[in-house]
Amino acid sequence: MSLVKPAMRGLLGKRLRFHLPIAFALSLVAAAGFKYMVTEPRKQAYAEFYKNYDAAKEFNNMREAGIFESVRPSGE
Amino acid sequence: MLAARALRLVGRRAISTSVCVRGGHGVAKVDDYALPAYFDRRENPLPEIRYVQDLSSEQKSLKEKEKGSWATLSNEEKIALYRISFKQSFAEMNQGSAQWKSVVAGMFLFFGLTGLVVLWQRKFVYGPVPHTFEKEWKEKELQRMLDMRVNPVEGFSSQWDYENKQWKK
Repeated sequence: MSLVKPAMRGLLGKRLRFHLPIAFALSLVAAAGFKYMVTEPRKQAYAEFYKNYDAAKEFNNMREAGIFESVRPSGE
Repeated sequence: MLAARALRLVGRRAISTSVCVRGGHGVAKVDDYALPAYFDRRENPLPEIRYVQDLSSEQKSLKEKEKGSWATLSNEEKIALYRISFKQSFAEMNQGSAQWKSVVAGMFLFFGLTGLVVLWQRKFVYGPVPHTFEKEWKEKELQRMLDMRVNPVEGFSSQWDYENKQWKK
């Protein structure tokens, strides 16, 4: 009955030494993934939208559609 | 009283009953649940009392032999001593069971029953939905959202082609 004596000390340290680098790496991957898959495309989308945005034209279109209460469509 | 408390912590059932004396009124009744109990728990590895309280004669002689050098004990004797002190080994108490299957089955059963109840409720208890859910109303609602340019960059109105008055492909 000569079993090997189990590890009695340093259990938390061993666990941390194993899991902390992995956790760190995964967090970095998650952050990088979010940046390049969400925020960069979003910034591009907004830049594209406002590159050739004509606010006056859009306003007139909205006015003609009749959604404003302060300015009615030009026909009325 | 303090002496009684201290002796009770040692965990000898026989002693704790006789020492519980209350100010001249005799022995106080000690309920079973108040005495130290044995249980197999991973978090509490050394219970307060031995598992086998009433030792047979050979177990008693084994306990006497235990007081000497442990090198003289055979493997069977060591296991017998373990089983006197403990009911289940860690491997035995930690082993899983198939109970989770019945638990999950019960869960699904109740989900299903709840679903039936909800369906019955929808049909027989609730009144009609508001008129704003009608098809014509919803069409006017969506048209107004497009007119207002709701979320024109990445959202709703960005999917509508305003020149050709249709959804973008």
